[in-house]
Amino acid sequence: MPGMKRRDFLKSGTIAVAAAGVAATMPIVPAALNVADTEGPEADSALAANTSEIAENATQPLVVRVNDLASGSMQMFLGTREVTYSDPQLAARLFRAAQ
Amino acid sequence: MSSHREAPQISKDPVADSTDVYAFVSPDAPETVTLIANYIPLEGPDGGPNFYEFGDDALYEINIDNDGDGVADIIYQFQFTTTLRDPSYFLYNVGPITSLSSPNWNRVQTYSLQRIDLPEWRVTELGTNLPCPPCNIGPLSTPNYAALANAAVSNVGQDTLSFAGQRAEGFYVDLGAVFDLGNLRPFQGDHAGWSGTGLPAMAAGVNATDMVNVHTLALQVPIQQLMSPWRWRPDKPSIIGVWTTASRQKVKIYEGENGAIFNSGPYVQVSRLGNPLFNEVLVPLSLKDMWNAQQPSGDNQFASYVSAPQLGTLLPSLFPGVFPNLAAFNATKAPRADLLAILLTGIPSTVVPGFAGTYTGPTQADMLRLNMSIPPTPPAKFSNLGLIGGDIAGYPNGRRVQDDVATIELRAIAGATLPLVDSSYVPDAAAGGISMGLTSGPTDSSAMNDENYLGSFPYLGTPHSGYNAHTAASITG
Repeated sequence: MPGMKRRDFLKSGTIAVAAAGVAATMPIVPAALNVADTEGPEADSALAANTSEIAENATQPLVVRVNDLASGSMQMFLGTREVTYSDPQLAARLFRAAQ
Repeated sequence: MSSHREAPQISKDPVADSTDVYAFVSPDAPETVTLIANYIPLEGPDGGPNFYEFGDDALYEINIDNDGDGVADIIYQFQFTTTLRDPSYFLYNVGPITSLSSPNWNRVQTYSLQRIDLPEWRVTELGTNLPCPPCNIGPLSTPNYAALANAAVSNVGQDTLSFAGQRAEGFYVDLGAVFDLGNLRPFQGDHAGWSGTGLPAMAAGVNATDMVNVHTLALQVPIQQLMSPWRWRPDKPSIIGVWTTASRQKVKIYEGENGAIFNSGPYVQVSRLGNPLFNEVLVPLSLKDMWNAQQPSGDNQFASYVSAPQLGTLLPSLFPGVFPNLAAFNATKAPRADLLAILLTGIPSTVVPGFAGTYTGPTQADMLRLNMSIPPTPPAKFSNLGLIGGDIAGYPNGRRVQDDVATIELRAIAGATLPLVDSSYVPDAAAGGISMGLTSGPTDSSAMNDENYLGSFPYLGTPHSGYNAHTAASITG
């Protein structure tokens, strides 16, 4: 409903990222996990180049919640932002790292 | 009660638990409206050494809808910051706190206030580092508390006053009786469970909240600033809907070793309150947490609990033979159109003679509706029963601090307001007489001297002092 969207905006609302390639906006993920990019989407190589630059701007930890391993559906929380993101390969790597 | 601990989840998070909302044309400044939202239920005044305070990690809002769609058009946001003036010390204060800048006051809270106008998303910073007063500890620590608290009233520009801090609880209710299977002490001899209890048939009500404090967000705003410029017309009723919300960030992580807490993510709503008792009395237990997360604009999903309130069905069973007309009405399964109007759409101007109404349109939304074109009632004509007492400046036309909202809503649910929409209905005699026995009558504006309301902003009384918490002197703070 319109009101919900307005409030979401006010509270630094939720952003949905459907394609894995858009992960260029979230380079902290591979950096924080210290995982090789060989298993990730092609975009990850571009991410690696930008990691140091983004890291300089990242003052808060990134929290990731993987909701579904098969689809790679996950939520990412950074500051007052939330991004929904889908990347089965990244989800698999996160699970592997957590085991 | 009202909205104290009214839902399972929020009852475990008192800092974010809204307890009461008030909205009224200011009696001493009738060109303004006073908006009050209370948090932290049932504060024991002596609850130290870590005295009560707002949550730095919560986002508090007072929301105003001025076009009847149940969506906020104006939001006042409060965010708090707590600092220690002497991190090495072990207590709240190291000596008498005689001013807000006193070095003796160790744990200090300030707040920022901003107004957001929608749909333009125009943000106006009304203040930063605005002072909160300390809690009222006792005569050695806070020797002139009233002056200390008064110094925390901030003029934040736009002819707006703001206050955030501890106040005496202004809502009065007999918690002990009403949660004991809906008992009302003055009428307990009529209760289905009375026989064999050994209780007297009649007893005086007990004001369970007269010795406790709350934390108050209060604003006094010029009336015209609460209406959109292109909507406000002097010849039209100026009706607003008001509710408060508290939100927390989605993610919370306990760091462990250093005792810190990390929060992340967008703020999500965990508490809301418009009309008193709505969530507590009408919404099923399984939905109360969800209700707290919703916006008023979606409240048609709860309309069935208003049109057929469970308490209205229970009353004839709890008090056998006392509510025969209500029982007969219930049997017809007809919707309670009176309650739907009072709580979800506002009362049309044609319903009560001489009352311009609070109707905001067909959108069903739980908001505290205030017709700002109705001036304050002179003291000589005041009724704590508000509209059902013939006082059109009282609840459910907004809500004043003195209004006996527990009795008003109890009587409404018992059928006292059904004739507003069904002229053939005759209320049971009890519907017009039941109460919790906490006032001497409709003209009582202090709940038999239990309440110490102020005559000016922020209207809620000086908080009860910790030192006097369990003494007769507590009423004066």
